[in-house]
Amino acid sequence: MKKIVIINCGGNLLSLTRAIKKYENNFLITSEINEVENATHIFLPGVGAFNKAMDVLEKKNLRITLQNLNYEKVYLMGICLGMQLLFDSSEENGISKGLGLIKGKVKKINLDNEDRKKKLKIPNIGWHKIIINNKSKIFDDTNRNLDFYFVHSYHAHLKNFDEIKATIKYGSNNLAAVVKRNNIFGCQFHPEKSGSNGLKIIKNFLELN
Amino acid sequence: MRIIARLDIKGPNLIKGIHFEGLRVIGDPNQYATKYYKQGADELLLIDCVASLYGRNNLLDIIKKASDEIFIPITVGGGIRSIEDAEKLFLSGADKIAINSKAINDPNIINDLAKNFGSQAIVASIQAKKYDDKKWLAYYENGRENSEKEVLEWVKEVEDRGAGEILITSIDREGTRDGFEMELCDQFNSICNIPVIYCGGMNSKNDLINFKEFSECDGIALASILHYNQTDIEEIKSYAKQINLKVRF
Repeated sequence: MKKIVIINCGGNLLSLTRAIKKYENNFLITSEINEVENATHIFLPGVGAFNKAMDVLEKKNLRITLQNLNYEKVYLMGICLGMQLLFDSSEENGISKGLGLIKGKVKKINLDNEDRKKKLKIPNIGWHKIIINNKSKIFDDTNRNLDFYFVHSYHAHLKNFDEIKATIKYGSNNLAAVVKRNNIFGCQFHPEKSGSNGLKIIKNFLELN
Repeated sequence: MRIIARLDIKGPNLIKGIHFEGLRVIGDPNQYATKYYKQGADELLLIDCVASLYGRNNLLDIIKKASDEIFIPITVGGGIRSIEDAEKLFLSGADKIAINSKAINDPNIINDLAKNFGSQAIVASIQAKKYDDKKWLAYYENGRENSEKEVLEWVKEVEDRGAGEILITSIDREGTRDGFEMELCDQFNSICNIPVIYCGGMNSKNDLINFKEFSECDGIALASILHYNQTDIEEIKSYAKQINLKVRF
């Protein structure tokens, strides 16, 4: 039986719940350990700062819960900050430890002189076409213009490059846009804010089993 | 370049004025919001334009309804005075909030909001009125009150305080369809390190050509030109593509 859970660390969950509701009526918004432990599909959203979000997970004892799930069976999707939380650490507001589910570090986007000349900015706010490096079911049926909505100042540096499924080009930077290890997915963009393509990603994730 | 539809709202209605005055009822905000989403708008901007005046924000119900079928970012502004006001809007479906009047009177609110919700969710809204050659003053209360702050100084301050984005509206051009105030836009383009949304005066798709040297992170916000069916977002984007302006399709 499919059991869908959205982890509640505060923030705007409305658009995500509405996106899910298009495909599935049964899901829970929760921060209860036993609900998360029994889930088959887990969304880890997240807005705000890395260390604050980790504090919330710690206080609710969800850090250990999430670290101990069997990701051969359970599907997890981290969105935006939720994706960054999957990594070992982040340098946002000093170094903080993450969940360590995917090897790598989260660092501030670095703009070089060329990027500055092009007036690239931080935060990176806007729509970007993702470049798929590795096929994944998560991209099924998306249309050719793979534009997604990004809003972030930090990005993930992965230790294992084959865990990067898609990137975006931001000036001189190639930023990880979709990552995957076992059944753990991370999207740096907001699928719930990316029109029909984003909805497809959510649908594809919910259909994984 | 993001193409953003701006909806100014008074009570239950989508309205539009000229220089923020002489507000005319256009119709049902949700109907227009859905229409612009379907046309391919990259974001929506919903502003309660009398909220500051009455010390309240009426948008909660409208956003709740709007975000039902709309899967693009929504920025909400008007009458936000506290962390609690902002929180209510975020929980109702806002992705970003735009703040002006309260920030003018108590700039620390920008720091507080950024700390609580992250800079990426905080848009500093600046309403600029020209008073001299290449000089503008920041207004508030929907263009009625003069803060006596120099716009080009104020923008640096809001950036330093942690705003993640700027919405700059030219009061002189707002609702006139006389074209963007490019002198002001150029100044912003040269000094802002965070994304800027330019608003006020778009007359036709040809105005886009002025933004060719601007950051791909920036956006333009359109109201009259869309509400009065001068053009639509699809047409604007096709033209943007033609002149090699990076837009989403």
